[in-house]
Amino acid sequence: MTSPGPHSRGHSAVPNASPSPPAAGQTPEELLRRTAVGEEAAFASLYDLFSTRVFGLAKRIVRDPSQAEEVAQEVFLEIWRRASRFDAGRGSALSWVMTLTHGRSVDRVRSAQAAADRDLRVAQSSTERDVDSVVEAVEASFERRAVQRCLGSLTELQRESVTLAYYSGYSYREVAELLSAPLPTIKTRLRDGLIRLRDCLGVAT
Amino acid sequence: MRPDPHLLTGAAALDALPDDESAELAAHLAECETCAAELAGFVETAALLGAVTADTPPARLRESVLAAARATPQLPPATGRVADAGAHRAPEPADRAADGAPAPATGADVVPLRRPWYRRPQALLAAAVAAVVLAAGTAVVVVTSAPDRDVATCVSTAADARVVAPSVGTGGEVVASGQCNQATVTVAGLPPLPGGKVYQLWYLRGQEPVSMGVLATSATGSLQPVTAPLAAGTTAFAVTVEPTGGSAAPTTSPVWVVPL
Ligand SMILES: [Zn+2]
Repeated sequence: MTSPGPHSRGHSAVPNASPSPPAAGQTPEELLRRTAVGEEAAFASLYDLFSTRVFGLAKRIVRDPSQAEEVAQEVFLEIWRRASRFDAGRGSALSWVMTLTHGRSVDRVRSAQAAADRDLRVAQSSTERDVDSVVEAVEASFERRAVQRCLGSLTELQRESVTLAYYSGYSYREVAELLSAPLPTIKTRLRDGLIRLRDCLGVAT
Repeated sequence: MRPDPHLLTGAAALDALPDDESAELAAHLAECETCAAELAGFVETAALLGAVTADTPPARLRESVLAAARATPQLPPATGRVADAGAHRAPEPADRAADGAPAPATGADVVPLRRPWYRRPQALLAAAVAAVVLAAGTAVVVVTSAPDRDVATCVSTAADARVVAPSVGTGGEVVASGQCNQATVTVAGLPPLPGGKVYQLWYLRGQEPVSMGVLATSATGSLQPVTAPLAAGTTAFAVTVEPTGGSAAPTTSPVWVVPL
């Protein structure tokens, strides 16, 4: 959809009278840097930025809201403790945080106790989230759409493999068992699925 | 025959590899740039999947986290070697959690990231937090003025005209008038984009984004304003970063939003 906006065109571009102050320190990467030197306000901003994602992913994987809350608390404390180890040259702040969240959630769900009662069904818990504001709704809507659209571009086996591994925290061996597919097949599907997702979501390579 | 380690990157990015194969992959990555770069891209990709499950935590969690942080010492920067590169429990001279400070149990027990932090090749435009990132950019891009004189006149003089500032982004505004059935959308405050990327404007009909086209850029790099018919049910205007030519549906999170 490339058509220009309806009746566009203006000419008198006016210099911005009051250029907004460079809001340095507001990118997640910068917030992490400030957190690393003990700035609590920066850490609080990080919390505000990432808490719905951290809690939401933990909840999806561990299923139990109170356990998800514990995981989220652990994740944020790890962020606080390890902020000095974040290296923006190696990845985005978002992926650092989400990697930590996913790992923690998976660890918890794979613990012996949890594994024992593990429900192997793929429960599609469709808990509607409370939306705080229009903006949040808009952002969530856009992001969800992009991810859902891209997930929809995968083959069924790719999509099932990726979602079982990511959203349910299964190892690829468990995924293979669940889908009654050979191990090498699942490994390949996971990789192919991520390649498609990466390209569809526009992740630079 | 050992399985090909090149195929392990996908499972690794999803925390789906058992430890033995993780170790095998780690050894392989040390000497294979291709796989290291691929894994880095996969890790960024996986992080975006979390957009789907975002969920508001109980309000008490915030205070709990902040209070715990106040009582928890921080690690010093890593010197040399790769930080977070695996299971080494780094020496923690600053860790006084055992001194009776009310640090939570988890604070004393460092659980390293599950995998090394591989180099990623480039910035990630699709990052879900791009909204905040770009809002912090330079205030170079400027726009305004009356795009369509009649519409602008109607809107600017209409008794019911509302001026709404962006909730995401730092510049520009929307002036909307139901009487004129039009809105003037002025996008400003967004940084210049690298080649291959454009800003695309959308309105939201309920939750449904509808494209209003790619924002034109003047010779000076400023975005051109847009006037638009105000469709019934429009709840917001938003701008996303898209590949040149624009997208049929948004592929990134908005960097500029004006809710109506
Ligand atoms: Zn390789």
